Amino acid sequence: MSLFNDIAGHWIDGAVRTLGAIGRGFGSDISADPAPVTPYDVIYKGGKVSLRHYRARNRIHATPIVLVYALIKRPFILDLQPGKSVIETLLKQGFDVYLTDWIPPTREDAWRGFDAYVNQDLDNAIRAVQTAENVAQVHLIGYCLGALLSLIYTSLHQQNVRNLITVAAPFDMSGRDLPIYHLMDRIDESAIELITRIHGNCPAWMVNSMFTAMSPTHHALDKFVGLYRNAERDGYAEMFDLFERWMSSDVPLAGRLFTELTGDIFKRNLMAKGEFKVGGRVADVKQITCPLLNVIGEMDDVVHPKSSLPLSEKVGSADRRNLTFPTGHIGVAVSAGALKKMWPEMGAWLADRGQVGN
Amino acid sequence: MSKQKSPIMDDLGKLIEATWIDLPAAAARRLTTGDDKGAVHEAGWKAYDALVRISNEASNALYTNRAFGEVAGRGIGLALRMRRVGDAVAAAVFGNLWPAIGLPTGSEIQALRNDVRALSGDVEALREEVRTASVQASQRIEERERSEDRATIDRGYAAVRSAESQGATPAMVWNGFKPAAPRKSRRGKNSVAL
Repeated sequence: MSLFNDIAGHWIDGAVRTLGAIGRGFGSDISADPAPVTPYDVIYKGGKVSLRHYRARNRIHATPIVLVYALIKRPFILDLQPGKSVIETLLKQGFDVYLTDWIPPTREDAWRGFDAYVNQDLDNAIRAVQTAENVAQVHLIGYCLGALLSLIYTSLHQQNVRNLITVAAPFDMSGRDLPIYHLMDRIDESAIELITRIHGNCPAWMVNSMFTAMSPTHHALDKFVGLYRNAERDGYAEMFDLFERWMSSDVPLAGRLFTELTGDIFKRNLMAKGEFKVGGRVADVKQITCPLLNVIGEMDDVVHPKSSLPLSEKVGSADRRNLTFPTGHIGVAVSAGALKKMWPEMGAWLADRGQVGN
Repeated sequence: MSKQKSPIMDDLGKLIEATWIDLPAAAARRLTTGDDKGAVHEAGWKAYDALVRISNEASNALYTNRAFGEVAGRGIGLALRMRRVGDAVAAAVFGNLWPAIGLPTGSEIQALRNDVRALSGDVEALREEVRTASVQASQRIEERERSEDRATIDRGYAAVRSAESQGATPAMVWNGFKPAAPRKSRRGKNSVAL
């Protein structure tokens, strides 16, 4: 009976957690973030971005890394636990790291699209880094939707970026390899328009529902069974709690950005076609000439590898490479293998290209 | 040409194998030898894993199904339209009904909240101004006292110098400086003069 009791107990905990998240509007309350593992200072706050600075104890590299996090969910997944932190891994390699902590948009921010996020917020954040560090260029690493923002930013402001790393970038959306993509195809643009008319933004619960719909069995049952089966493993329950907290930390997507993302990027695939306009300028990846490392999780079931793979062929860079790793979408940030091998490899790639002229 | 097995059929095969072969065999072994509990668990989890995979494949098949997609897509659109109509009707009905029975509307409450927020902001700003003014005033008083003391000392030196130049004894000249009253001993009466 212990099996059923335990699993039922975990399931009820999960249900209570989800209800709590719905009650507080998912992750829209920043104070609900767990205590940071790695200390940081906020060096800039403006628009909808707060820029965190993590200092390396033994800094080796003059050029800092700007880590562009996704606009979905809170960024504490990148600094989850001691020994399970992307930030910690990069600091250990001697890089100073700046992380974009996107401030959840309110109804008044529904007008914000890619132009506001890239040409204002991200550009201002990078300018703040250039001023603070007295450098002309930064290394840019983008994760998931942050990778798309980084791509657009580098296309439009190439002079500020020394090296670009995209991790799980949703670039070419022409394929329909993930089943959920088929379902999204059936939701017409008038429905998308209605979402923003009714709610202003795409609400956090809706973003969360999309993630849940990708693997309903996992979210409804299997993860709780997994907790039961791994209860003996050291630190598993603690990690599970943190991870669940992150899973229910969805934030709303600004209305205009949501419309552009679903219409221009997903349905019309304008980014891969080199026709996506941001602030009146075409964000064509051919304009990217800096070295590019395109990191892909082979088992990614949120951004299919086939969506990221064509990127390296489309950029204008001479130095470009795909790095595939046997992990999933979230595994690239939290799996022990990725933190032990993939992120150090990314650091080494940046270090090799750190000097001007390389 | 061999036909490739679909993943759902593959998992179905594993489920059948686990529930019809592995589980009964493990249960029988446990009954006869009484010590092979692990094998039963293993077979059970194998069946469970196959079941989860089948369920995943089924949901994937559902999403890729055109008819389901059409229904779901139209359903979402319809639900949103109904919500919009509902919002509009509610706004129209309650917008007129509410004030008629003397209750404030949502926008009035919001305006009131904004006013209260603005007022508390004003109060905080005033408090900050008073705090700054008080600090500045005490700084100014200190500064003035310091400059007065300096002027008194300067006057004293000037008087001494002029007296010296006239050949007078410096100690005899009063420069206007009044020394502060000596502090009383903290111990008071208990202190003993040695």
